[in-house]
Amino acid sequence: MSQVIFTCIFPVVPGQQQTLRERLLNLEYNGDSPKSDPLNFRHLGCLHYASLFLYDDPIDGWYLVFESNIDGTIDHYFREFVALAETNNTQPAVLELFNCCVGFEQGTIAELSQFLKATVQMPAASYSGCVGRSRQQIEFEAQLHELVSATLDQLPPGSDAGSAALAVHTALQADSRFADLKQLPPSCPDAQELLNAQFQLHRRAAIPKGLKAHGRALVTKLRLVTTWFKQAGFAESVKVLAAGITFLVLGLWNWLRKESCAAEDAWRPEPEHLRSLRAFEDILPCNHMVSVVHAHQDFSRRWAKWAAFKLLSFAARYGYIHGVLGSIPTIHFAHWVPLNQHRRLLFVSNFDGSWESYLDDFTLKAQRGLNLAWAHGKGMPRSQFMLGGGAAHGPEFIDWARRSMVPTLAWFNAYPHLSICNINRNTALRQAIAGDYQQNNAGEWLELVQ
Amino acid sequence: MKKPGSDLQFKDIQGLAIRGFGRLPYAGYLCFGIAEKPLFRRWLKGLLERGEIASGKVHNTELGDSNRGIAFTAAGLQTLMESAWLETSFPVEFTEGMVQPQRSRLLGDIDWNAPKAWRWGVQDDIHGVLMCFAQQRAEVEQMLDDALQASNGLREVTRIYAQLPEDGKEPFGFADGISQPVIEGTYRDQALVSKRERQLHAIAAGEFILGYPDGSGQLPRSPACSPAMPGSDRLAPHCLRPELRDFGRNGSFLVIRQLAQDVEAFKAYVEAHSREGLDVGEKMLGRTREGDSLTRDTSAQGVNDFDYLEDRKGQGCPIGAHVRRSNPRSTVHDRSDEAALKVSNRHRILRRGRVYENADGEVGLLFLCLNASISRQFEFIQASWSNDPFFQGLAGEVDPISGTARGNAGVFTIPASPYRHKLQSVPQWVTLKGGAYFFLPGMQALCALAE
Repeated sequence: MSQVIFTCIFPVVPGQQQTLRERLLNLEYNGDSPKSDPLNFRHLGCLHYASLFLYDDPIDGWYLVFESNIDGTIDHYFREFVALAETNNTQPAVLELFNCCVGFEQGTIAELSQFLKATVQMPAASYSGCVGRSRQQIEFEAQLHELVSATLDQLPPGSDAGSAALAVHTALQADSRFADLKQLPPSCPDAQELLNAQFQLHRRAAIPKGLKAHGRALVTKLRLVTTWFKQAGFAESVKVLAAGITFLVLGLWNWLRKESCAAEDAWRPEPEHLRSLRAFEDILPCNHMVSVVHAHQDFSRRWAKWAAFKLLSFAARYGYIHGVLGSIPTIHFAHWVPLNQHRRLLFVSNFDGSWESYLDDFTLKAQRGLNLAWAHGKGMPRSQFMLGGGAAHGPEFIDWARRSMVPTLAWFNAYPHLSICNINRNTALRQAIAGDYQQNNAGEWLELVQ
Repeated sequence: MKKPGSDLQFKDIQGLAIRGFGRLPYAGYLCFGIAEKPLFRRWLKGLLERGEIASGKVHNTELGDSNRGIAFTAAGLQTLMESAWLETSFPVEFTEGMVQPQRSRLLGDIDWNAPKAWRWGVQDDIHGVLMCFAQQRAEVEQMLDDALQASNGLREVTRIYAQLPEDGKEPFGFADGISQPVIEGTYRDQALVSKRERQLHAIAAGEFILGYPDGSGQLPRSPACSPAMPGSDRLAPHCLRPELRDFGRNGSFLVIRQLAQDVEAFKAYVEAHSREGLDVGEKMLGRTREGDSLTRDTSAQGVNDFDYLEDRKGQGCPIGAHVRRSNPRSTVHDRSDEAALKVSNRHRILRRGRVYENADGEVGLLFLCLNASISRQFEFIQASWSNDPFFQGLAGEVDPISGTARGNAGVFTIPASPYRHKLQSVPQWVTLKGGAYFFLPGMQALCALAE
């Protein structure tokens, strides 16, 4: 199942931002009944994560942003969104939000789907930690893990692997939900194919002898990237190579001319601003982050940024498909969108753990990737060639990131008690049990169960 | 080659930041308010002049029969520094303090641990903490009583007596204080022999003491004060803003939390759920009662010489065990084991805790730790490791010893072959009774405060 990550951006009718803010703050969106979920997020079976928030642009004014991470197509999603509002009779709550937006002041529910479609902005780069898995598949596999875990809990202490596996198989056969575990596709056809190719690569021990550790690592990396290109095909590979050359040329140019930039911000974020952000954080074991930075716009930096996002996008699509972005194993969905004629850059992320641990991962493990994305943000600690420096200035970068954030006013998470590690483990468990049916192995997969 | 951190200005660092005063087993902690500023300053100046607050230069053997340390809350520094107080130069977690709704959520100070049930630390009435150390309990009591004489300008908010346990074991019966970072440039640093020990435990001075490079090679942010403050001429110019004075240099942030331990409940649970070959108490803690590691690291040369790499699945020391959550060593996710250890080591704390016993029989740990950044070190460990239900692939469980039960927590997974053992309904047996954030100034900054 293909996943789509996108945002809708709506200019807010001048003066309506406070009303909209209050409506969003009072909105319930995680309940089971229409009253406690007027936007029907929980009933939208294709929706993984969604959020609504506001940001202010000094030139263009206030905007409402509606982020969605879905399965299937955008058309289908909006049709369902509108249909559920009609079925569940929640149109007033839906309309009172979007009627605050320019161009839809008098809009009706029948016109909403069209209006939403017209505001869609696709990301410059995006990432999914659960590539190819639908929300249904994630929930199904979580139920499977739960049943297997409960079965193991019932076993007498000291049971051996054979009897444990047998007990699990018996329990699964007695439950019609799990009649055919092979019915589901593997995690993602594309991803699986690529993983297989990468696995084959590792098995070929043809790395020249005599190379030292760094050399061997480089050869392995180059070979991995080669598999990405094979997977991407000729046309996309050419585009990525063009982006790579653009990045090198413009990045070098920017570096050599020592581009002037806005003064680095050295002060700490305002305590009041921090409190407004923290009010919405750490309520669940996972969190949501929204950052809207001001970006430098001169020709060479803008196009270097475009090229950098092409490269990031390519790496996220073909490389980072195992649930780990660089060395960060906690991201469900994230994306970047340029806004306001490229003056602003939006970053939205849904991740496990606290904001502090997320930013810690950023600054300690993924500095280069962050610099690629944010290097030309105004006020960011200075970077070199869009790769070095920048996020490596931990406290200064974290303060800059905090200052650029806006509060998430409404956030829906379809499976708040599953981390991205849990999701990937559950998929591995289902595939292993499905294979075990055929091979009749004593369950080596038992160690996957928590 | 010049040793990193070897330029530590021991003479300007309070002794507590360098050593735990192990030769002075009894301690008394007086949380105080400042009633009369001039009297307080005179008293503080007297302590400094008489050398009654030891600097880091004073060796353990030269400490004498007693010694002290002193630290201040944001309210205390604001009171003493008056117009020279620059709030924005201090980190927000320090100026806001430990008791703040969103911080409580982050730290897991909810339900039983919520501040509304604390004995101290909730009101903004604590200006500082005087920490006294001596050979005998009576001496410590006398030191606190002396400090509280009316002529000294202090008023008592709370006092807690604690001590180093004679057998080295904390109330649940486990050897304590085994894994402690070693500050690069100190005498303990020179005692580390093996390469792995150095990698594991030798930590840049700037991770604990302001004014020196930290693990990233950069100087940690240091609080500033206005040059208008009396006595500030003895402070160096601030490294980022030379027009101001570096108030933080050679200081450290101090976290204190009083953790009551329900020893009977713990022992009863452990007895009920252990079986032959499985001591669930040791599994939950992550070490044997004598302090030995549970990992199956065959190359280990001591109780602290391991990195969990040979026990990634946690079949020796469970992934969610208390000591493993508190310091996962090389097992955080990163591109290499070396890089992972470096990441872990950005989140170390210097522990200075002691055990306490109240008159009513309540026992527990008076947890104290020093760090250069409360948010990156103490709060990170608490929120992102101890209380994270998703820690390293786990689901719905928190630190079985000190974590706060959330949602369906109360579960603890003990990885094993062929399949895991799972403890259910693990009670919460550690309850927070109070806490606060302090700043432990360097000796020169203390002198400036006393002017």
